Amino acid sequence: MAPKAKKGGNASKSKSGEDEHEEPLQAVVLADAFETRFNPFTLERPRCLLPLANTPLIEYTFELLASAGVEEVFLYCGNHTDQVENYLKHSRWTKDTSPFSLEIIRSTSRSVGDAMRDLDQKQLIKGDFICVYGDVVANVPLEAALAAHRARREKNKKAIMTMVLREAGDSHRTKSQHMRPCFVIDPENEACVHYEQLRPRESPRLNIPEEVLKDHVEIDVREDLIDCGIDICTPEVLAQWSDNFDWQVPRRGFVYGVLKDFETFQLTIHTHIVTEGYAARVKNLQAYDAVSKDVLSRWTYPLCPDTNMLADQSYQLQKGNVYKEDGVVLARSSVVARKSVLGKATSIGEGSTITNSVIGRRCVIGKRVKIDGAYIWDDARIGDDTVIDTAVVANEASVGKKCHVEKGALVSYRVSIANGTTIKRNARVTRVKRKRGYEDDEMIRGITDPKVVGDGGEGFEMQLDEDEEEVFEALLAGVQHMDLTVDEDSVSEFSDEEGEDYDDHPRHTSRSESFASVGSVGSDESGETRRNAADFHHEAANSIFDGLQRGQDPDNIQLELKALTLASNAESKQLRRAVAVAMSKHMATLIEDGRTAKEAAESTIPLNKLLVQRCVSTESSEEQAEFLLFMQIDLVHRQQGEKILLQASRVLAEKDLIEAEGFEGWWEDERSVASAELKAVRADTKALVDFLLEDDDDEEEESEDDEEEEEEDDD
Amino acid sequence: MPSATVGQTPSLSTYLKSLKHNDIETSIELFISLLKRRQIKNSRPCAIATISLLLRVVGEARTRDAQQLIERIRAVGRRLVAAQPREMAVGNIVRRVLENVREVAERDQDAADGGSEGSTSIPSTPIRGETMRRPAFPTKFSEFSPLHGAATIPQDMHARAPLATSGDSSPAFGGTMEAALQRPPLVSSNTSYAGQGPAASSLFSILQHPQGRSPYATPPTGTQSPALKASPFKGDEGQTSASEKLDIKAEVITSIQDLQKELEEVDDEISEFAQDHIHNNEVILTHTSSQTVQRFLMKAASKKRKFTVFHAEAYPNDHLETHATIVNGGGATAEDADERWKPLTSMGITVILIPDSAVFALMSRINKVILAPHTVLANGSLIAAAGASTIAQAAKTHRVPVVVLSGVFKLSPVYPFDTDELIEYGDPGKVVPFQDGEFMDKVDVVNPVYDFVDAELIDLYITNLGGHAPSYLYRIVADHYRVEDIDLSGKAEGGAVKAG
Amino acid sequence: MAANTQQRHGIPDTPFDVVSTYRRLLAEDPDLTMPVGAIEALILGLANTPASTVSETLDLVSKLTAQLKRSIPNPISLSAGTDLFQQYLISNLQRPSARGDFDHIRSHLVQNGRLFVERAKAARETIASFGRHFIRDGNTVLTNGGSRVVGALLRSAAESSNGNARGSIRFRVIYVVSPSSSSGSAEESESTANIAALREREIPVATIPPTAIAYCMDQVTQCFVGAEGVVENGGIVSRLGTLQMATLAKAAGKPFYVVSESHKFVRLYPLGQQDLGIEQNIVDFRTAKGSGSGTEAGQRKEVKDEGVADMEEGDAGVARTVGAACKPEEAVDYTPPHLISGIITESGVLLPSAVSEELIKIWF
Repeated sequence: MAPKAKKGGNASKSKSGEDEHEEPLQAVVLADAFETRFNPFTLERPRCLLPLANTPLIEYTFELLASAGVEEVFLYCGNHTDQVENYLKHSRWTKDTSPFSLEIIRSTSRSVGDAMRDLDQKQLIKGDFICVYGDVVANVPLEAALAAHRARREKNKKAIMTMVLREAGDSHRTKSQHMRPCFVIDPENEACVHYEQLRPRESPRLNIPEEVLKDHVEIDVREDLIDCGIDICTPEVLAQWSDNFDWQVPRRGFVYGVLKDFETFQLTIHTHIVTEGYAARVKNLQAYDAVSKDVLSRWTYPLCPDTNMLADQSYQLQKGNVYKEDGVVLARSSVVARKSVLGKATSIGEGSTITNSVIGRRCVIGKRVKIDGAYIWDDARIGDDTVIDTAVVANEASVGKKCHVEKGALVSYRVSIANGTTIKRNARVTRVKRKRGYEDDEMIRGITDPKVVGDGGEGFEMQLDEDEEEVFEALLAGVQHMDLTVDEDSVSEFSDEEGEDYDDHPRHTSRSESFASVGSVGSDESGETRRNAADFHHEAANSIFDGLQRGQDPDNIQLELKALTLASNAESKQLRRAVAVAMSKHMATLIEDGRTAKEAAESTIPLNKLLVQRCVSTESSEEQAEFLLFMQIDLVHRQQGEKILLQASRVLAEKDLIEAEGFEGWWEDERSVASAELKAVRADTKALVDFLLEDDDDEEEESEDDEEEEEEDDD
Repeated sequence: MPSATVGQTPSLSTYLKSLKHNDIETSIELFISLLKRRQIKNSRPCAIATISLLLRVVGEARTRDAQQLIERIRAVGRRLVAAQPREMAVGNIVRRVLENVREVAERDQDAADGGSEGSTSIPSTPIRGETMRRPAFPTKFSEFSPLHGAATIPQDMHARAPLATSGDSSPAFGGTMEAALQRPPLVSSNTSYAGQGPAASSLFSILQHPQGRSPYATPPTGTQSPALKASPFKGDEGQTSASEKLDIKAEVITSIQDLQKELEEVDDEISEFAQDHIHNNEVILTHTSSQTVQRFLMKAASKKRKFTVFHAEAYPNDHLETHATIVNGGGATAEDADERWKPLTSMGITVILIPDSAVFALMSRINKVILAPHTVLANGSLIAAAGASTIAQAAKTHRVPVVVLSGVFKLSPVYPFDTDELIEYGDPGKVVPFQDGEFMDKVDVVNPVYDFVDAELIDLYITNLGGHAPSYLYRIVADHYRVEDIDLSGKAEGGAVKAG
Repeated sequence: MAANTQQRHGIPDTPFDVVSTYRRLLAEDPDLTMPVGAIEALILGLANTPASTVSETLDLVSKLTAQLKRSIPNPISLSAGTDLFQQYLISNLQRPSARGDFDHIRSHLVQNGRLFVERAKAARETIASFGRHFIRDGNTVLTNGGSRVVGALLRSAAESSNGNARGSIRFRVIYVVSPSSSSGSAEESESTANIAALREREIPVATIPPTAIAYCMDQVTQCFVGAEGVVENGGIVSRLGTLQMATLAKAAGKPFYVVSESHKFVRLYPLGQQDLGIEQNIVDFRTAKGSGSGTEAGQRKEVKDEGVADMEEGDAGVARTVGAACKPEEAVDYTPPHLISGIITESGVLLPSAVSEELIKIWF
């Protein structure tokens, strides 16, 4: 059907498409994906301005929109808004010759959800609109998708959204290597009936709600799709976002949510699977690497360097996909091999070889340098005899003589590496670090670490959750590392992620709150307070988790928490949620580090029992129940969630933080069985609960049997 | 500046629509981005878009001074050409328009001070008086034989020199010296075979004559006499004669419209020659879904010629269109959806579709190869859809005549210094589906869109002016373009003005 | 004015000898090409002998021209200049309207003898300045020494080779140098000078003997040669060996460019090597008794003389011993147009087929 729609679109280019619609085609660009996946680079620069093949990402996105005939664009920026604005002010997109009117919306949004709700409030959207991220690189003809979408709209007002997906083989460098989105599609009307994200290590297991199986004669389960985050939405979509203030992310939040409520609202989300053209999102460094490769080998044609998207560019394509801009100075003996880009006024010294690399403008490459598959941004300097593997060297960074920058290393802005230094695999060297503030994270210069950058160097290694390191390895090392056992979701814990596992805290919020809204609580809250609640939760969870990660003294954490609570006079309920979420997440992270759930729980809860005690009084079983509930809900989305829940509850019980009544209350609570996942998660714990409730001894085998039972019950 | 049509992928048709209400800058920018995004591509659409745009540009221009007009057009042209150098039609059209402007200006000039000139005019001999007859000539060159056109331009270029430098010898001489010194910028980056301008400057250039009575004593800058006299020289006279000057703008606009007409008619004009070249029971091989070729064949068919057509499908970039053309006739593509026509088959012509790979094997059975170029270069070589080179080579080895059908607007004065630069590389996805991730990773896929075919592989060019040998094309270039326009980026104009 | 021109050239008021003047001019200025030298000589002649009427002037010019042509055995290059000049005068003077201007024209010519030379040289620079666009990054250029225009072209390419607007152009040059030529020969020194200049500019230059052309043709991207005269059909008359190179280039499918100022276009339509209208004794059949008649020997003497002239495109002035003569590389051959990809003149790249047109324009 998709191809058919496409053909129709092409043929009727001039006829159909126009008159049907009076209102201009609008688009929303989420310039900031609320993420830190590009750390350390995004510390100093918004992601959408990072150069891809020497052209800022946002340009690709705008080209896509312009080529789709979009006429009004609303750009949402989170961090570094000024930079974005400043850039755009001088770009052709804000000139009155621009193909579309561009409005930059500064917002305090912390997630797509917030942005959408904000948009809905602003009443800017008149008709159907395209929603994309500021990092989409695509040349797919959206016209077909639009046509299909409109056609559906004519028939059925309930078809509120069309996701544009690019078909890609089962193994594809441009596909997300870690979080494999899986779409369950009803081929006959292309409706997406179920959505899940598969994590690599897990045995791919979908739990498709039975009604889905009932309702649809035929379903495709597709995991071979690149989700390039291009959605064609109707205003209804915004309304949905607003109604469900807790949704934060378009897929896990929105899609999931809408599909969940299908029974109630009958809203359908459709897919448009593109089989030709290019579409991808640069959502992490691995994607950055892949997409860059695609751009250089012209898969994104015509969005290739030699198209010179920016007015001041002058790239020329030469044999073997070598793109040279004017004024490149090459020493006679230097070799620029296939698939490379050289920016203006870059000079390459004698005997240097450059392969599969992108080199920015005004770079100075010394003599006998070997650069393979590296991304070197503007104004970088590389000393003689240096070897650079698949790595990124950011603007104005300087690498000394005889250095070796190993695979996956990231050298951030203005870092300088002393002569003869070796930058370790996947090391991330930067000069600034983020100080987490509640409102805005401000940057501060870090202390130079000679061990990393050598004497006389400048910069230090950025410390992030180790697991993230692995990911970066995968990111840059590309396919051969695809088997790498990394759970992106966990990685993304702190790096608010690709549309899906966005900023997590909001996500957990969303869970608990969504449930809360399903339940009696909060349904009466005004949107405003809801948002506050969301914010509070976000910050609180942040700070606690931070504390836990750094192994801070619980007192301090408690203190911060207190301040925060007072600041946004949050109710203890929210506080509990925050603690629950933060703890469970912390445990999850520990597990990522290879600890067992048991260890995790034991190393987390006892230390911080104070926290728990503060928010969960031993008296009220309700509070305890709630706490468990929150934890359960949060753990739904964690891998090994069920184990964590089991262990955590065990420890909580042992430490008498939660009494049997609490457990009982939780177990009885219908909300804790609201959904299949919830059931699943708490399955393991059943044994424990039973045991607690009827003082039985050996959990182990019991829990086994019970598990079986559980499953039986489930079926 | 939103375009009228909502949420519609921009294309030639939408662009032309938007031209009406968009302001000029926007239109230019839009065209540039469309060129870059390849949403307007291939010679014809580019040419049409360019000409319509220039029409606007001229229309908007608030000057009656030819020189400023030229400057304006050049400025626009520079940007357009820079946007998509490989779409040479754009540059060609810009140059054609410039040529028209200059011509109008010259005519105007002659009109202005025609009286003073000796009116001894025998067209055939190169005497300046010739220029007196210029106004009588239609601006559309395609209407008289190339030679005739050839005869006209140079002379009036020469004739203009004296006007430029008339006056007492010493300053005039200074002028000419400057002229000589300025030659470098003029012929700077890419020069051409344009016999004309060179002729003017070349042979006698070193013996520059003050009086410049000779039709030859013309410094290349002399050809910009409009500049020379528009500014310093006879400034005041310019004012006085402004009254009797014919309205340059109007003239130019008409000439541009003529050009537009030429673009529309080009296929028909070419097809007029069909029956001279296609005879009964011939076996023709062609390539790509060129509507020029289709028209040509249709014409022959309509003249009751019975022949067979082998159609190479031009995979992967053009095969779909080719198939469409074969099945439901030309004009299948969105650009010219308005004018569709019946397929050849409907006229009892046997059409046989073959893959490009089969070309050589079949060549021995072919009587004639008919190609449609993307661009024709002044040295007789051409750029055509990938596969053309194979065909031409095969034809050469089998001694099969290769006929190229090309409107004059595809004929570019630009000299191919580096033919590789002229070849565009397209989307590899058309060769290997993007889905095939493994393939992508391990193999580089290259999809060249065009081929370079050397002049010596081509036997005949048929343009809307008639048939020409490849070696003769430089002549037609000379007739349609001015040397000083060949390098649009050159600052020659400015220099000339200073010189004057 | 006639007087001051005499001062300038220090000519005694002896009866004017156009030939010696011509040789002197060439000797004085190594950069002078034969045609321009001839023109200048003629102008001086004009200045020296007062001619008051058009016909007188024309007679004088044709007389001097004849002398010149007689004086050297290979007048091809030279005649390009003289013909140009004559045509110029004729077309200017023989027009009714031109009457009044006669003195004007004459004085202009007389005054500006040097200027023309300057223009001629400017033309060379022009050629160089855009001819370099032919040379792209990674090219290998094959040339045969001697021609100053080619030298200038390569030099300007070399100068612009690094860090210019378009980025580095890294090209290499293969110079064909005939080992047989005595190191003293001006032609040799010319090419050695060029080679040195290029090497200074960090352009790798290889020198090969003419016998190696075929061998290295496959690594060549294009050929550039100078010409002594460009003939009507677009062919060229140039130093011996050019034809060979052109043929090989054609065979290898490499572009073969002629670099020449347009004032070297000469009205000559050779049908073959033997049809150049000059005596050359390249194929010299001998028997044990030695070769042909004394006259031929005499001819040969001339030949070398002329040969030298061609190579130098004017340096014929430098006195030569008969001994240094009759070397094949000092003779010329004729390269037919179909071997030539293009003729790079100061006014554009012409197809061979365009040459006749240029000539026609001044002759008819």
